[in-house]
Amino acid sequence: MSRDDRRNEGTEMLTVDAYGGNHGESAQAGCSTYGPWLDDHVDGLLEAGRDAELTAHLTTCEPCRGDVAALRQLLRRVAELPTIVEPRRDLWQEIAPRLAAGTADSHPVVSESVVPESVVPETVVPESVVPESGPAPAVAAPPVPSMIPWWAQAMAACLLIALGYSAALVLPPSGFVARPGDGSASPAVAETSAGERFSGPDLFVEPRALTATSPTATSPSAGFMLAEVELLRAKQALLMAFLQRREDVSPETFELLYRNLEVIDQATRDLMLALRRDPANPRLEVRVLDNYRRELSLLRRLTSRDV
Amino acid sequence: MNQMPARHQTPSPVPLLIASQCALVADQSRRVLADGCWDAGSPGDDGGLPRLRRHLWVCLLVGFFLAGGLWGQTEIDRQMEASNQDRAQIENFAGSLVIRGWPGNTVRVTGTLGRDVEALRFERRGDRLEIVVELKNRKRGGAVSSHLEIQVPLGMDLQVETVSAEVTLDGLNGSLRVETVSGDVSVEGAPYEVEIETVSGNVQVLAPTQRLQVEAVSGDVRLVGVMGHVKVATVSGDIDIRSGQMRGLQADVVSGDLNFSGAPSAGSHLEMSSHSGDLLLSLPPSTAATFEVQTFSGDIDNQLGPAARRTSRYTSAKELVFTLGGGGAQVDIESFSGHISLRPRE
Repeated sequence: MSRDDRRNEGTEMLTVDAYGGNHGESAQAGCSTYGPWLDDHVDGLLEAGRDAELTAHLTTCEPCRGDVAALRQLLRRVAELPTIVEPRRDLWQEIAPRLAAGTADSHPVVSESVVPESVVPETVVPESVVPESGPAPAVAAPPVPSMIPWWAQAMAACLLIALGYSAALVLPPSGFVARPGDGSASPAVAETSAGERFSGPDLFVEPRALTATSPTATSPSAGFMLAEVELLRAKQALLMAFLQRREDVSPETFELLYRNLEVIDQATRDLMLALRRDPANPRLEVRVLDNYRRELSLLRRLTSRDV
Repeated sequence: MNQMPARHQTPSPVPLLIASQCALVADQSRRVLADGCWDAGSPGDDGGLPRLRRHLWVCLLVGFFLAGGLWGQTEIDRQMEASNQDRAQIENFAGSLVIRGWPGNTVRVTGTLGRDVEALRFERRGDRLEIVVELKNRKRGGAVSSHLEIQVPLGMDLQVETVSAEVTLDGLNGSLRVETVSGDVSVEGAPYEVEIETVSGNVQVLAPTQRLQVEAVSGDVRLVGVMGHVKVATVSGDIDIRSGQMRGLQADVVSGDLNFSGAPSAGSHLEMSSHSGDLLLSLPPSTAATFEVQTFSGDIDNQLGPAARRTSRYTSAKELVFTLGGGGAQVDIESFSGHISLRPRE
């Protein structure tokens, strides 16, 4: 697949209108000529003659300058993507019982047999990186692997932004502030929710403290929020792994998968909004986490075999 | 182990096709002459000849494409001794796989390999038989479709992987695991347990399995007469479950619809859930079960008992709990916004 083909697919999928936007009528012809050169220009890969021609065009075309700025901003945001921190392999085994502590009164806990055995494929997470016990290392942010094409990174960025939006709907506006001893999370956990640190066994507070879904609760349970953070990170890791395999996936299959992941994401957004209206509803929490598990299971499958 | 390789190149089909097309042309010529086409036009008009030429060209073109399509295919007929204690791993990228159980102690593979297939790997590693269609390269394109029919001892455990190849399993009673991307999967017989994963392929199981697990993304799933413990999930695909005496059911859709038709067996626990897809249960008069039905923002239409009630002043959540026939089975139904209907089975 040519670079232009990939770019066209990527931009369609991302609805990033980098060079086909509403430029003025007079500029349209020029923009349509120079538009396909923009990403190579931003990447510094455009042939010198064309680069000079495009640069001259940019001095007179404000919309194209805007597109270049947008592309550069997008690339910057991609470069600033948070570290991929993999969850411990038996993540759900810990999440489920803790969540159950907060939901057992009204909802059957999701059976463990439904849970994928591992949420991260072998190819993504070396076992050594994910110790069985003891706090997981706070992983320094490695650069996004250069083997990932920029458009794939951009797609991941957009999905992450959407996920961040979803998370923002459920997390308290001021952030999750730990109040030790009051049924909330420990300070270490608060750090985790802020994305600064990420700890393993210490991730979860005492089960008793997770029974935040009392009749007087006004926000989702701490267990739910912690589980969500970790599942989001696992999803991010798998999503990046899947996008790395983009070239191996037939376009039809990729589109189908993308649309179905969107279906799940939309369902999650619906649930998040409902959870905002009814924050003490443990069934909604379970359904949100079920959706994440569903996505993780799907992504895990897709990253481990031919598609 | 007695292995009898019998791979051989098909005699080139081209001469056969050319011969058949020549016969057609000859036949057309006879017809043209018999119909008096030579006389159809005005004197001096040779209207029959162009018609004959057209027939000739059409036949030649058809023959050319047919020959091109078949040329290079390799016919396969191989077999190897095996037993019910063995297991087999079977892989085919595209085309079709038909796997049947038989009482013999032999695995036999027949069919054709596509032109761009490297080889059929058919070998034993310990107690595992590997039947793998190996491609010349993993890139898509080319004539990679292979159509295989495989007969195996009926109790053998199988692991089958395809990308777009359709899979048909029949007459087997071991454990079957199938993974495909877009290939349809059909299972009949009495396998002990079945596990199927697909993306867009449709799944049909007509078998009294003891344990069945199906995961699809957009593919539809149809289960008829399944038993034991069943777990089935799709994202946008529909699920249709008919009859069967299941001990447990977990059916889960996101935007697809779920239809269940049958009587829950005594002591069974059936769980069905959807996000936005509709849930329809058609139940016979003999149904004996306790139902717990909930929806967050959807509707509940119960034609078998009491109406649902709202559970909150602030949301449109509804709930319904009732018992039919003195109970015995437990049926839990839940949706977020999907419509839930319970109706008598016609």
